[in-house]
Amino acid sequence: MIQPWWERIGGPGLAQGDLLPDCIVPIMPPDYEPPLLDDEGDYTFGGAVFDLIIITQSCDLENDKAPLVATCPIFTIADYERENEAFKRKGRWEQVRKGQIEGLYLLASPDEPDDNRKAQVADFHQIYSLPVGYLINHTARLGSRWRLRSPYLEHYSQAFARFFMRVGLPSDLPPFR
Amino acid sequence: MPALLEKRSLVGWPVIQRPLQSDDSAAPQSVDGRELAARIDQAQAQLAEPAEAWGELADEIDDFDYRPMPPKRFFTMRVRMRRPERGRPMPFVFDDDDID
Repeated sequence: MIQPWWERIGGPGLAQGDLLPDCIVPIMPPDYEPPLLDDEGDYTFGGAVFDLIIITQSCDLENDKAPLVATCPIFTIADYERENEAFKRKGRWEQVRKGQIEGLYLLASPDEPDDNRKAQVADFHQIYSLPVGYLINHTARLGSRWRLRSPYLEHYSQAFARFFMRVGLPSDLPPFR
Repeated sequence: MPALLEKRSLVGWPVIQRPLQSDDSAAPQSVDGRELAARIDQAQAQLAEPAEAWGELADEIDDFDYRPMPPKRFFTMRVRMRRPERGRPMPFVFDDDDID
């Protein structure tokens, strides 16, 4: 039996590793053009609903240094496999678990941590920044919610850092075979 | 010395195949010997085929397409927007005033 990765919390405070279900991400249309100076305009924006997990460091959130909070979406393995069928192949999630597939990070299920099929995958390829005020109000509506515990929090944070700081080379040494 | 055939396995460990025949100076001369050598060559070719396919599979696993995940739901909303102001930098407050 593995230790719980998450703890239940309440209250409005935000921290890195907070799981925020059903957040709305506004998406402006590709052909959006702003109104002229001193003018107003009505537009149709998209609203994309995601379960998000906070990326911004907790110390920046505590000290009001971040008006926008960086987040990335989190999905169930089943949902992810529906869109990316390559992940149905045996051994793929084990590669993700070992950190061998960049941009994806596996998190134990809050409710059933021992069941790998209930694990969730954070997708660092999609980063959304949302206003801190919106997220605080959203957490108030949620009531209790899940927060990632230490040291799983630091492990997750390090995985994001590794993804973000990676460097691609125009040409690399051929692989050793 | 015959060359070694190295194939990459799915789990990352190399599979090294050593050709069974030796150099030409030891080539079989008898009918039975030549038949045995031919069968060894055949068996060796059959062994190499799955290893090659295995290597291709490993390459495919390293290189797959990523499809961005769609949201749980998507809706449209009407928004009224005024001319956006140009964003300004946030105030940067130093904690210490000790630096000369």
